[in-house]
Amino acid sequence: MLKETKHNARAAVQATEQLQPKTVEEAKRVPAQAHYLFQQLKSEFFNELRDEKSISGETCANIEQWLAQHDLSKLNALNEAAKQHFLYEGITFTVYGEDEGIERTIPFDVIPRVIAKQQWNKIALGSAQRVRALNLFLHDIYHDQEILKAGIVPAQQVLTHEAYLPQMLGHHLKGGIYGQISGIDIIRDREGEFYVLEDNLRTPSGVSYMLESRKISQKLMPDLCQSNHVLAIEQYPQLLKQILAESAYVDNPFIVVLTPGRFNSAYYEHSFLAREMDVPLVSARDLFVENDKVYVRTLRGRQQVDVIYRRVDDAFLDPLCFKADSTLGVAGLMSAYLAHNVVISNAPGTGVADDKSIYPYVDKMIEYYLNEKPMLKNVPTYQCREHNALEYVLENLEKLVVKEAQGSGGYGMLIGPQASQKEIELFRKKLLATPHAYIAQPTLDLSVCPTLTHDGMAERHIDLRPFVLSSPLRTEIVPGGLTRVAMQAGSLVVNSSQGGGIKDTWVVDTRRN
Amino acid sequence: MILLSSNAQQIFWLARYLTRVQYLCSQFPFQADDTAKKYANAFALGEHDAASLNTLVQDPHHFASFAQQFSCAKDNIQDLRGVLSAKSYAELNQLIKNASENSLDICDVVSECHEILEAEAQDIFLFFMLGQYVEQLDRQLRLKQDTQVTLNQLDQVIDLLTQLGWSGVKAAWQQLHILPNSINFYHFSDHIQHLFEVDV
Repeated sequence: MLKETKHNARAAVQATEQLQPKTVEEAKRVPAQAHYLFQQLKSEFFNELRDEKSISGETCANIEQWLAQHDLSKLNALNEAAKQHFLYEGITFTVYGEDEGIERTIPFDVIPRVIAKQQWNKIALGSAQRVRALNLFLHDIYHDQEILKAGIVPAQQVLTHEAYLPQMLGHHLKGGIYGQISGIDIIRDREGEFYVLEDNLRTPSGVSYMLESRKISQKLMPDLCQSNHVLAIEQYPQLLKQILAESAYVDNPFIVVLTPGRFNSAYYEHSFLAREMDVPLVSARDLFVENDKVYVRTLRGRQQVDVIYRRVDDAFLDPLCFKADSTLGVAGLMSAYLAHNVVISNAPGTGVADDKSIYPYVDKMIEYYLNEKPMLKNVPTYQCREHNALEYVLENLEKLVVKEAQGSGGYGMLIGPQASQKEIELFRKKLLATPHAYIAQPTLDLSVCPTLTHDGMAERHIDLRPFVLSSPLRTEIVPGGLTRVAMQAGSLVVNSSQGGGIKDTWVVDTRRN
Repeated sequence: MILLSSNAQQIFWLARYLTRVQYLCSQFPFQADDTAKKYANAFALGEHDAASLNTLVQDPHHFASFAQQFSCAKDNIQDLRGVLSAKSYAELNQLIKNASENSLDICDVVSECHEILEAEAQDIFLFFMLGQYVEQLDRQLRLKQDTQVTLNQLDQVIDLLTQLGWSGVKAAWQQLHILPNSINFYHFSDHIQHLFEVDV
């Protein structure tokens, strides 16, 4: 019986190959009505695959034609094949608080999200600009605090922030890079304008899903990927390795990925990145500190560690410095770090820059540090800590999205237009009790992308998380990112922990097309 | 890539649990009361005839059951995710995910896990063999079975490990090799654990 199950699983994976479509040339011979598949989705929102100004008509036509040559059951079989592939490879994540077991796959939608290269350039430049400013901000608040003295960002908000680490005061980092890896969450509004929804600088996750989405797309629709000149993203792990190496204090550094372990929701990603970079995946028990140097226990004896790509939160990094009962960290690690004997990436204390209550000041940071205009817009944000803002938010809860300033994963959110009166009243009480812990934003009409459902093609809201890599020498972004999709009709919550799915993100060089 | 001590330890214990389950599979269901009694005594399970031992090893809550021992092997496989090749991990993951607590399922899976792990890199496989043979020797000493073949196999593995740079194991091994008894086995086994856990 077990052999049969194993056979079935393998067969499901092999099915991806059997279901591969015909060539694009063949696809072009399908009926003309195929061209109108996407246009049938009459949307009140900005439809990413009908962005005629920037995406080449040919790219969309190719995708439509490809879709048209498969009936719904075949297309759903492709999505199912992707699910089986993820299950087989163990590409899974954990949702906290679930009893049903450790593994859950993320829903994958076979219809890609397409971004024209010209549009991508705007995203890439804008994201890089933000990250440069955020790194300068972090350097500043841990050194001269000029921006605080100038009153551009309220000093109290920064210095009393729980992610602000006094241990980092005066500590100089190579090139002033605090966040080697940043994820910038971007959305498009009704007009297709790009907005940054939030910056993620602590331990941004999801890049493995970006890479796996591409892998499965190439498996399911190889001709389509090839014929549309989709820009490559596969170089990300090696680029990450180079960026980490460039941040080290020594040549040819020994790099490790530090994971909290297999119970962490992103354990798959930790092991994936370690394997792809060909560096050890370590947990706290593998590391020790002696004379302010970090070592890893290997079969051939101790090996000094030069760079730690940590996927452990600040509070757990070093029990001698932070949470004394942490078993996920390494005693003495901060001491070694402050002695410049090891690089921790991202740097401890970066969390203060990606807090939702600091986010409203990023535009000003860009102007202050870079003397440039922000290339990407911020979503207007009400800081509930401010009296007038709080009053406005309380009066307009039905229209606004309220978020915890330090929340993530779509938890602790109120989406006013979709909330019940009871939920609204609950948030009213929370806001009155701890206003400083919340921000509010207008409900944006997130763009949509055609998405396969069991009933056919339908529009679903999406966002985008490109990953910015920074070293003292350069800033790099692979052309793509994690497109998250709210799988429920009308839902604006794209987080995987809340049932969101993913799409492959195609940055297409339309000029080549 | 350099193998971490913790990974070597996880491979070692993975092999031990898989080998342990495999032997249990070879004996299950126990038919003769004598054999059952001998097995139960050797593994400190108390007094059992064949029927009650068969019940015990199928009780998923008992530490000596198929399910519990297989669960330990599963944990090690998950911990080794960053070390095993993607292909091996996927195959193992598929196997262990689909194995129920049913003893027959587990027995099928265990032998397939063995095959997959045998295809891994040399240092991984060496620690896998070390675990396999140490488990065999442990059982043979407990059940007073012939140990000669296993001792020879272990000797070869220890030689290869020494060549790999894991030379600390040699002295304790010599003692056990010369005088294979339970005390020397425990000494050897403790020594291996020590090597896994301290900075060598």
